[in-house]
Amino acid sequence: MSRVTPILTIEEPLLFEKSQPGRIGYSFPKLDVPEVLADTIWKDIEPRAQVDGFPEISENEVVRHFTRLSQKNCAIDLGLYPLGSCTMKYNPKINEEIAQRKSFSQSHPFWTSRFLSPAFRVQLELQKLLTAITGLEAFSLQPSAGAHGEFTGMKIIQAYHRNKSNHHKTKILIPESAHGTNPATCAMLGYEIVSIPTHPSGVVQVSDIQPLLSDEVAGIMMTNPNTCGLFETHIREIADLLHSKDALFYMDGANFNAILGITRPADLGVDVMHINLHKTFSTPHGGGGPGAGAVGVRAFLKDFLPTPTIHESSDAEVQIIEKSPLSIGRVGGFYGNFSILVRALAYMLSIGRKPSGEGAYFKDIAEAAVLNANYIRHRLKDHFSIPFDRNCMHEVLLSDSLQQEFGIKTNDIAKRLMDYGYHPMTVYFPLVVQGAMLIEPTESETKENLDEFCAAMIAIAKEARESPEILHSAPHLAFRKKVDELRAQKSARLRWSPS
Amino acid sequence: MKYIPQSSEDRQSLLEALGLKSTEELFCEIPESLRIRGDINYPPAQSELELRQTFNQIESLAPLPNPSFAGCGIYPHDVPAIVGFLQSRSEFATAYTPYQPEISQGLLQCIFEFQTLACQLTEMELSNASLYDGATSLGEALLMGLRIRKKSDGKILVSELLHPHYDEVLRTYCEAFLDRFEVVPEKNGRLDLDFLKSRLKNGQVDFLITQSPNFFGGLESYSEIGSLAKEHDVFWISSTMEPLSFGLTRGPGFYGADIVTAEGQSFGNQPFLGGSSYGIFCTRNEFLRNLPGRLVGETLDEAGRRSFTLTFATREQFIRRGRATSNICTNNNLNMLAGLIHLATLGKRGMSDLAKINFSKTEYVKSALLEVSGLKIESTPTFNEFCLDLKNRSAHELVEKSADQNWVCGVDLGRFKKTWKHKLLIHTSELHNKNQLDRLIQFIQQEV
Repeated sequence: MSRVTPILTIEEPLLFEKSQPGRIGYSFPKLDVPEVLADTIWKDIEPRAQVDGFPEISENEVVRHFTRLSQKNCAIDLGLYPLGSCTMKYNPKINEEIAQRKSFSQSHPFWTSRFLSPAFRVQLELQKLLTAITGLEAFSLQPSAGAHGEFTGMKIIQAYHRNKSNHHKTKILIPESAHGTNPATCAMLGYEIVSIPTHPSGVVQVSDIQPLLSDEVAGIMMTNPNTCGLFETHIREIADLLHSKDALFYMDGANFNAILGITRPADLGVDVMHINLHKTFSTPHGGGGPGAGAVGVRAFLKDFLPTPTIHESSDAEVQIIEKSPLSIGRVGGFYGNFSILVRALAYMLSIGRKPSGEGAYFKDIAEAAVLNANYIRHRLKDHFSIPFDRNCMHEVLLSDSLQQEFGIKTNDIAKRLMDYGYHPMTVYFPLVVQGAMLIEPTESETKENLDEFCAAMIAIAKEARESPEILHSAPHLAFRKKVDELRAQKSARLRWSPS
Repeated sequence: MKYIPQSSEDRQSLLEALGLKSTEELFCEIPESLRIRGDINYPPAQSELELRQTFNQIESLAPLPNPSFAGCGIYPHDVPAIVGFLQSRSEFATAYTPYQPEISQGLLQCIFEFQTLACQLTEMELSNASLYDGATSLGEALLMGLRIRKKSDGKILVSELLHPHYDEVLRTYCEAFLDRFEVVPEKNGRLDLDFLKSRLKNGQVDFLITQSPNFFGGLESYSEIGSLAKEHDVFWISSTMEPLSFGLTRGPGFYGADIVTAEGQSFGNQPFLGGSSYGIFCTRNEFLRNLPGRLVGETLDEAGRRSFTLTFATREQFIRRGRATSNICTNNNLNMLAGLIHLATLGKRGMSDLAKINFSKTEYVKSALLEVSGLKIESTPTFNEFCLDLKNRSAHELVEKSADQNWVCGVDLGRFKKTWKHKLLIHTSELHNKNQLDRLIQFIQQEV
């Protein structure tokens, strides 16, 4: 029986097209103070009668609108979501329940501190667990996402050099395989980017770094495990080499899930890193956020962390330091994405040491994630090209080179996967492999799920040989046929307007 | 472990398929010297029940004050039941960024609708899919303005009445341009327009950054500021912490703002200590190529049906890398969705009615306190927040005294600047009934 069968989906108009004058979707209590009209007291401000264009819709229709729209999405709770470098693991529901508690949801950032002990305690405990698992001494939880963490971490490196009057250090080394956010972050900070060419092994060699390592190098940004799904074997030697030139090591922790409990970033020689709490520590991705990009540093950099910082005094009381002379300053409003931090803490508390006393669940997570990725690699290696065919970490990198002779490209394979009921893998990234397909199953999948996914991929490889036209015209069963992305740009309609 | 579906039998069969004896072998690429050996100091795993108990304990560390008149950038409002209900649907909450349009039409349509509402609210032409929050949106706005006017090196004028957090974030984001920053002072709770006029006449100014309602709750005279910006060819960036005020005031676009940013929390999001929320970011069509963040556009699928997709991605980091308009990738989409649902239920009339309720409640408190001697309230127009000058009394003491009775009478602005230690910032909304407002009034009457 086919894995995919049609369900009833309803074409849903835009809110603005559903609107009818006089419809109401809200209720307010009666105004219990005298009504004051703005135009009776405002002299130089023109009151606004209404927001033109806002819709008028009853509550029931609003509910149907968004429920119908929700059905036109893929989600982890619907099935395997193998986006490489995104760590789409299961998001436990208890964490959602806990985050909604009133002590957290109602907390106001400017209440006097006596009311904020629960919120500060959450942050403090989370910082401690992040320190335990990374070996990095101090953390800031203020960054709102991975890229925001990069901005924070690289600004810390910049502040460190400035404090030492290292004004000549204007360059950052970045491997070609890096996420686009890495060079974009350096550009925001005015750094010159020096690209490290990809070694045939997929792993950066010390000899790749040596010729690039001038006195002008302020640091390196490396993702480890890298975006080819490989552990950077020479990371410690590279870190030592950089340190010998007073350059710092930034680790992009997007792929941290693979090494939880296996190795600690501090032991790898890392000076600064960010961790995407919405990846490794399971907070829901929300269709594009919110995330949280906690930044950890070694002790010698802690004075540069953004303010405020949260500490524990000797008598176990929470201390907030609002200003600090060397700090890079605030990177966001208030205390960052606190609602995400609550979820991450709940998760981190649930994956600790096992009751048996032997080992910890977080290590099991890394092992299961890596085992699953390698199993997929093993199952697919006769059907797709694997540019770096050896043990991978949490994700496996394929390319479309075996399918090219049939005129089939990565995009065709991705769109066809939708017909088999899967969200495609990450496509055309990393850029260092042509037609890249990056698959990350995470630890959350059963063997049956992996087998079904591999069966779909193998069936697609067969279709590519025998009936490539099916792939060219895919998807056939999705809510929409292939969407014309060029047209969206050529005749740009970026908001609704009455026709 | 319930989050890892592999049983030991499963693990064995996967290992056998790979021809391996143990999972250890999978990590052979990691040098032995870098591996963790022995236990790391980490607490025991907690079951679901134990987690609840742990968080009961954390919750018991402090009571929840009620009522609270704290605002100052985060404004609690009545969030309709449907918001949490719809926002937490797995199909929204556990989806990734909608990079594959054929199977992401729901999210894409939501973003397209949000972009439209944000434009209508601010009276601007173009909105992105939202950024992290109000403060970082302002930082991104100035960076964008600096790209647009990269050939010019005039001054950047910043309102003294910008929320200090916004001001700090702006300076962190634009640190390389700090030597061009100048502060426009306040006068009677608003920007000193006489100062601004004379400053604009003397020496080149490229940027003006204002906030309305401002940090003291005052509504700035945007008609005058807008015409000054136009007259002197100044790139004008507006920030708003309480976008509900747009239910009662024209959008900054009406007065000619170049970029309008706002904190979106008021729509659909609980305070959560200030995050997560989302940032509204709107501008003019002519600046499309300089816009940071995601953008959704309308198009067709192969069958000719209306569809939505992410577009103009060549601005973004995953394509343009070091030459992108920002490094932003993950934003605060689910918070934006809560805002969208809230705005959809409010609609045209609800938006106006809710704004009027907030305004009337605040005016009620203001007019009662105006009669109290020993207090000063500027005659500046306000929306749902105002600044009370307690003259000789410390705002900190008042706040602590209300806290002794388990409620919060406002925000002591002395926490930001010593010279503001007599200033109490009071926010009132639909959440406060008349009894609570009367209690606040009576409390202040007694204390000063």
